[in-house]
Amino acid sequence: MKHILKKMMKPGDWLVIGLVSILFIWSLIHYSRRKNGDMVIVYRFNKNIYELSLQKDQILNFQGLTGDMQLSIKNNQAWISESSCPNKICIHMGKIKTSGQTIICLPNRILITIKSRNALLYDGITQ
Amino acid sequence: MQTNKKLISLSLLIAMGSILFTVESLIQFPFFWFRIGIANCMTILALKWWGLKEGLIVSVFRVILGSLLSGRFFSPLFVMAMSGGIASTLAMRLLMIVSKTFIGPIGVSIFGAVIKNMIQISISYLTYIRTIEIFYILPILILMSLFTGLCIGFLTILIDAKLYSSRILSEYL
Repeated sequence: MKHILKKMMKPGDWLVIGLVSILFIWSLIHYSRRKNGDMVIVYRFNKNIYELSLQKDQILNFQGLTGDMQLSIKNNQAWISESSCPNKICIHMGKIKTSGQTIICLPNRILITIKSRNALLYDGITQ
Repeated sequence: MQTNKKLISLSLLIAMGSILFTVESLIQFPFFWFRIGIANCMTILALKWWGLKEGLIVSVFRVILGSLLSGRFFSPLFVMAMSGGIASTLAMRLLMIVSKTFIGPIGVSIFGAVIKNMIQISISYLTYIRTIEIFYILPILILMSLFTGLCIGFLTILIDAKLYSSRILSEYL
């Protein structure tokens, strides 16, 4: 069986396998580094209410369902600094900075996410 | 007559490719656009026995016929399979021209599978999905196309050897 295997493979085949493996490892390294985001987007009831830049240090006070909330942006990171929700889970979710990460406050129906510029072409497509 | 034999054998390859395409599209993967691509072996055989034109004929018509059979004509599957198929056929023929004695069907098949999947995902990025995050599945895609290309290459060698040994091939070429 191994004899037949050796006979089927030509030297160029091993070259192709080697190149594709290198390509695989490269793509693994390249795509495990998540992109740093550009924009912070705040959704209330799944509706886009605020779009802020992640680069600019700022504090945003806005309304959730249960009361006031405060979003802080500093050093390319965003987090919730104050919230009127009972459990304060959203504050303990910590800081987000790479695209795709989210902070959710369920009582306030708030979702905060980071998007990179390319992904802002469409938020989603419904069919 | 020579052209008649070529017509018959091309039709056989296209027919078998379409059936393989239809049958394997019943196997669903988590990512919907990924196929094992068993029908690629027909394209590789056509490229090996004749040349670029015949390979393109088999590839294009296999996608058309297979899509008609499985009821997915002009669906996203059709668009992506067509674009990936044409691109991979051209790439495989290029590889064969560059090093005919150096690389056997296995290397050609792996190369074609990788090119095909990368083109498919790029086309789906440009037309359907439109978020850059889709490229995060590229590593897994490359790995799977490496393995499937290996298997389909073996399959191609086996088919080729079988046809040569039973001398059916000499009648049809």
